[in-house]
Amino acid sequence: MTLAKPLMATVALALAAFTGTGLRADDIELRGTPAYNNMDYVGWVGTAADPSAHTAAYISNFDNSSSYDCANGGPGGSRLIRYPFMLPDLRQIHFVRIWGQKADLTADLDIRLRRSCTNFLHPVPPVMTTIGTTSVAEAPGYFSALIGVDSTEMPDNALCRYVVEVEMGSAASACAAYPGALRIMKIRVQSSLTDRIFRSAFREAF
Amino acid sequence: MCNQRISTPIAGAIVLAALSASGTTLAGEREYEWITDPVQLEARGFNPDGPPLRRLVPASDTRSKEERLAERRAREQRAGSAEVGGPGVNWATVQASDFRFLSESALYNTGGNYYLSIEPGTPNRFADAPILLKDDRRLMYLDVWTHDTNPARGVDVALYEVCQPPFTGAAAEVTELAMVEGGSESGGNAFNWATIPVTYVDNRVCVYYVRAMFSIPVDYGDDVRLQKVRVYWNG
Amino acid sequence: MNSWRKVQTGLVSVALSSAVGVVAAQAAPDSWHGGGDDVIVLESVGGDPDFIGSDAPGERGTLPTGVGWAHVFGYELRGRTAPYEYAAITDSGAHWCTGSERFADARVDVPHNVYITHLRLWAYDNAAGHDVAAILFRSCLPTVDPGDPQNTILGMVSSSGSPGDFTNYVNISAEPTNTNLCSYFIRARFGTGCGGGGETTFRRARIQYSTSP
Repeated sequence: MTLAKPLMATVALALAAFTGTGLRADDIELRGTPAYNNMDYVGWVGTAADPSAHTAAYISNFDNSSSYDCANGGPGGSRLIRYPFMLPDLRQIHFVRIWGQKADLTADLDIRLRRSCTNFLHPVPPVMTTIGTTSVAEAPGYFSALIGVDSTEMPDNALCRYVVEVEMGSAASACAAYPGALRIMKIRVQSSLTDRIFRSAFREAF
Repeated sequence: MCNQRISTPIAGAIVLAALSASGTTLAGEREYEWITDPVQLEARGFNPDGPPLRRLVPASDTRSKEERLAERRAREQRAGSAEVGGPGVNWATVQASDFRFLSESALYNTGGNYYLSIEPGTPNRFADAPILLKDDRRLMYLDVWTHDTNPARGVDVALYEVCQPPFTGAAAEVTELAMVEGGSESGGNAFNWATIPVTYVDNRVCVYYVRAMFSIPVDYGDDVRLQKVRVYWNG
Repeated sequence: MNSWRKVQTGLVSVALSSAVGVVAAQAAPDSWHGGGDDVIVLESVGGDPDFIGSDAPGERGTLPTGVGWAHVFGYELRGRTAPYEYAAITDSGAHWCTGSERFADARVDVPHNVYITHLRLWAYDNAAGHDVAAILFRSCLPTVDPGDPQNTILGMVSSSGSPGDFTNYVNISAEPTNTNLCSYFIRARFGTGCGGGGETTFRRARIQYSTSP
């Protein structure tokens, strides 16, 4: 334990140096040691989505990636899909990255990372907090969008659960002219343990 | 059902080169073959006019199923009970009811008992489920439980790896890691598995999913049921 | 501690409802769990009125070592059969059915080799004639052999009457989890014909578990 504290402090300082600048980018700057410098990743293919209603039309056969392709080819239908997740306690969430494809004449994407915390015992509705947002507009083709997370964000699994929301435009118009023009291919959550000493134990807790 | 090998060396070279350029480490040790036949792609639920599918050359094992099963049982006995969240937990499972069909129009039934079958006439017969695997582990087995009383119909299950550059948008490199073919089953409950050729999990670059492929024509109901899928890894 | 028995479908929820301690009994309780006749019911037992027994925080609001939780939002539920018609809201997590299928399931990510101690449901029930329930299921298969799934109800929580915002829990007493052989699910049950609509919504369910019995 006496060895643990200096190491913790070193790791914390190193992380603080990266995370306190406001310029923190993806983990590419943090790499350099085995296991990606204490970073852990968990990810899902696009079809892991939970559509907000049965009116959300989708298809997944554009390529082989199990992407969620919006297929509401006209007005109407829900455009909101969700990717809920939880991480083990004592883990700091750094980034959520979303891969996809967006062609001409497709609806813009609004993507939000949100935290829903309930009252431990009481029946009142949970408190929903938006932690970070990003959007994808125009026609970038293949894209990769990033949501950065404040360095203080740590799971409270007794009360809270996270969700990545993806809104594919409004129901007033088509989301895409053809299947595959607007799709979510992958969601990845990047996190690290605040105390590296316990990495192996908690890392297994997925 | 989907065991025809089709090799396209040129396409393979292109993709290997692309992978190398994108910094992934996937291409080093594995032996691939390419599926370019539209019929084969369509049989897997992929776009017949879409990109070719890379497949790991299936592991060769000439032993009988009984011999291989005995080995699995011995391995299970050696494994014993794993502690909470510890390294002894070397599996991930997907229950059949976790699968999501590739279109919202699919007609399915879980029986209220967590299996998955298709309804006759369903417009979609393919279903995917993400599977979360532990980083750096070597994958070992793809296990599939089914219930099948129809000798002419069945359900295949395959494990796929989807990789993209870690920080930029790009087309996905998709690899079929293993497939368990269930089309010949008709004796009721069945357990089948495939050994996964050398593959190490890389969650930074890749995600993983399993696909259930119910056979055609879709004139059967719960004669064919997918029950569960499990992936084992080493250590 | 555990008492196992096979029961016929109709008996399942009646027994569990009494264990949960629903405040106001209905004239004709909705008792179907949505599965087949071979579902096993694990009887619930009374818990100690302390922290662990009631899944409430301790006096100082601290949590005991070795306790963990897993949540399921309402909008993670997927229909037992298709077509399944439903709606959902992000902010409250609420999900409700709008068609004829009234059962939906969501997988619970519970660790291997822990003891599930509680199931809690948050819901909204503003329809006197329809309730909303959460049923904790375990579905198991042999390790490397074929077999029939063994499906067990570990516990159930249901609303009753029209309490509006609602939460309640049930104690769970089962052997340690085994994620190698078994999967764990929360099943939502809505009113017959989804008659409650948006007045009976499933917001969230939470499993509490412990690393020691």
